[in-house]
Amino acid sequence: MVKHRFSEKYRPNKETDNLKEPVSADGIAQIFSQCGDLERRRIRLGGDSAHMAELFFIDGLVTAADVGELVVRPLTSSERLGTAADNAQAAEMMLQGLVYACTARRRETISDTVQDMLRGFCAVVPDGCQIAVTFEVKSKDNRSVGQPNEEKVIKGSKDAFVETMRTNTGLARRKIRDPHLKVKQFTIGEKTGSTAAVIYIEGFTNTGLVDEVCRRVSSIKAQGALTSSVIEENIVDNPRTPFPQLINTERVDKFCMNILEGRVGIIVDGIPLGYLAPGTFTQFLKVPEDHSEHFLIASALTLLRYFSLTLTLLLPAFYVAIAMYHQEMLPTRLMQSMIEAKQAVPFPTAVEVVMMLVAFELLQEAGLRLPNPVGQTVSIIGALIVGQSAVEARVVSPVVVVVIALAGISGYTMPSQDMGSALRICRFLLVLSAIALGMFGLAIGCTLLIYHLASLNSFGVPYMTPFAGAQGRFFARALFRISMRKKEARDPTLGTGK
Amino acid sequence: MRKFTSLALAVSMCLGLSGCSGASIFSNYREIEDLEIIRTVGIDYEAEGICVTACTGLTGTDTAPRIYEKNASSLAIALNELQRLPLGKSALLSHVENLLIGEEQARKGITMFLDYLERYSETRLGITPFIVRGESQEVIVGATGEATSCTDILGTIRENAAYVGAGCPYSCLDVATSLARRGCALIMAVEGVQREKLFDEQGDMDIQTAGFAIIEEGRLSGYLDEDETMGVLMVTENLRAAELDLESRGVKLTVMLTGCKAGFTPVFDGGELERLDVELTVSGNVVNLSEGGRLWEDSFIDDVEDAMAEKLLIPAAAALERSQSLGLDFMALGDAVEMRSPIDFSQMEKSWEEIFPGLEIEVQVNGELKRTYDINDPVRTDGGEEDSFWDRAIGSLTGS
Repeated sequence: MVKHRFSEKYRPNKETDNLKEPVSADGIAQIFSQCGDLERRRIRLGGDSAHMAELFFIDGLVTAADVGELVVRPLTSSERLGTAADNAQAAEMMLQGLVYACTARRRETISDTVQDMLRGFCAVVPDGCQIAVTFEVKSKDNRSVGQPNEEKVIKGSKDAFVETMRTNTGLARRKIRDPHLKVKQFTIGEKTGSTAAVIYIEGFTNTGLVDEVCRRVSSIKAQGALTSSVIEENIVDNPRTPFPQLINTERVDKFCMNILEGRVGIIVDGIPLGYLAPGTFTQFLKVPEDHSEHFLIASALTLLRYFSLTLTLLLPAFYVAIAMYHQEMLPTRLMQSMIEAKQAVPFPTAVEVVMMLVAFELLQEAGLRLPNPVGQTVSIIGALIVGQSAVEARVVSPVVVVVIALAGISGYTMPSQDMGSALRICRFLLVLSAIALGMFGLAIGCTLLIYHLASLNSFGVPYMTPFAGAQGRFFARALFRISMRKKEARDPTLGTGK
Repeated sequence: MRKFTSLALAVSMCLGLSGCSGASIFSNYREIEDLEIIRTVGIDYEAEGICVTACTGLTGTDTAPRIYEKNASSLAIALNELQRLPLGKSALLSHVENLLIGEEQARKGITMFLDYLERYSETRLGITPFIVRGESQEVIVGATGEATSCTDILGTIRENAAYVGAGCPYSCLDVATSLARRGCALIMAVEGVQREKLFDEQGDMDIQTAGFAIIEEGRLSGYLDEDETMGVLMVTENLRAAELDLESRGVKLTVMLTGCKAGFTPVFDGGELERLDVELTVSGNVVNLSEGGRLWEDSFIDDVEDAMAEKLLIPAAAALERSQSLGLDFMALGDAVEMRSPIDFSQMEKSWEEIFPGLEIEVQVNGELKRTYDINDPVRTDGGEEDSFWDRAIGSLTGS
């Protein structure tokens, strides 16, 4: 019984069956039956009762004033419409400029008409014609372009992507004023009908890469494209790896810089982020500020980030391996103080470290999910309870607190939160392998991790480029920022054109 | 998936190569707080084997250093028994810094201890061995109190010996290498001396250096005195610092020696090694000067340098003479000859032990004053009778 429950409840949507039929007012009304926000009005074209038409629009998606001023007024008051021989000629006159709305489209099927209406168009269906003329009168109730919330800007442009795709493509065009900047659009999301734009520079970006990105974006099969993961998991090469393979950013300057390096950008309507492909490992350790700082400072900071990556990934596991198996590796004085600190702690090192890692993750999650003021309070209480009180109560040793805190803080230096999250998972796994086999386990864990990373590809580019693959000669470019005088804009590993 | 499986299989095969076969894979798992860090090990002769004394060090907290003693037929058994310490602790030997060998045991032989330290997984050959004039246990127990530890005293000796011209802390590796190559080696000698306690928690004994002990064929054969020790440090370029009192032109001064460079020139005659010229250049700075001295006079500086050379020739010559008289090349002069004339040396390598005692060695010592710290010419430039920079500057201002 349970097995068939879904199929029993399934009701075929009869309205969708006539989507391919020629346009009719009743057909549109039937599609939107039980939709309280559908507005339908019968109007006289040119004030002539011989030329009647139906006006449809969805309240909330259009600007009512624009409908009145740009569509209804010219349609009803224009005497020329009244002189039309029939409604088909009247429709042609509308398309040729009689109506003031900038965008006008001729639609012959109900499906196209409905799609336009859902994108902020109003539809005029003249009686007796099996066509509709749609006019763009989109609502302007959108979030205005502001500063990025998640990515801090220290020295750079402060405009960030918003939820409106067209605004976002405009922001990109303002930075790259080149006619070769192409914006290919696709509709994704079976229910949401979201639009995705693939952005690249023609003649510069690798055409194979562009074709592949377009193919993958156009073949996204999802009910809706409302969240990032719908895009990311549907188009990346390896959806099962926790490591990010698409760069996402809310910063327009970062998006454009990557386009100029030869990457392909993707912008999806409704998501205030720009995606960039391919996303390789080294790209997730770079920040746009690297191009704003002096190249020596930027290089030093990049190296610092790699050092932080090593710390956040390996420090807890290294500590576990040394404290449990390889005490001879510690300097004598440090070991003495570690022993002193751990004398009254009742838990073994493994439990201590795992417990602290879990506590750290809990605190972090709580801080993220709560509103800002409460989040800060939780962080303070957490730091006091888990840090000071736990040490004073001899539940954990101070060295473990230092190790976990250092690993955690190092993780925060990762420019990409996705990369930071992947490293957190790996950190846990490496700790478990170190608990099981000490340094040997850690070595095995690292080997598997490197193997995994080296086997990944992102849109045909090895994930560990330039450390793996045939692009080894560019490895210095990943670690250091070359002086702008010498640097070519494009990324040599992406096979761009001249 | 197939790739992952193949990799997992490869990794599991590596486990077999790790030396952790069978159930012993977890054998080195120990909680850090259950370990007792042994930092000094003493070995003394016993009629039925050896007596091993192990000592921890000061921890910087209220915990006093602890001493453990085990009698066993061998070092391996004694250290193994140390793994079962009171209160469920086990001894961690990877942090052992000092190996004290009692004089009597040293005369019986030390190579089996070096051999064990080399083979045992926890210990390292970087450990510094000391020969104790007397019994090592007596020194360890005597120098360790609630607030003092023989480990820390020996640590100070290790760090400072070369800076006071009292010896050089050769490691077990150095000793083992020297024994293997030349059949002899030098080990720093120490002795315990009674002292008056400054505070109750202090041990009643202090440890001080006592020159070098000579190890011949793995056994203690004698000691070098103070002068000979100084000479060895000069010839082996291990002199880091030492104070030298001199008198020149009736002026008393103290020179802080800052280093010594040794040059070796083998002189061959028809393929036969006729002579070995040893040139030692000792540098130093004047740190104390009685009234009346004028260090900016070139001739006076030359006199001081000559006095330095004359005084330092005595220990250098004494060390070389002792080495030759014993027929033990513990200063590695053979290596120096080999480095300069490898082809010639290869022909005499096997007979070096016979050649060395009768080899004519001409030693020359040069003194070199680097800094006088004199206000007129603190760093030796041109010296002499000319006016200094300051004299000229003051003269130009006053018009004189």
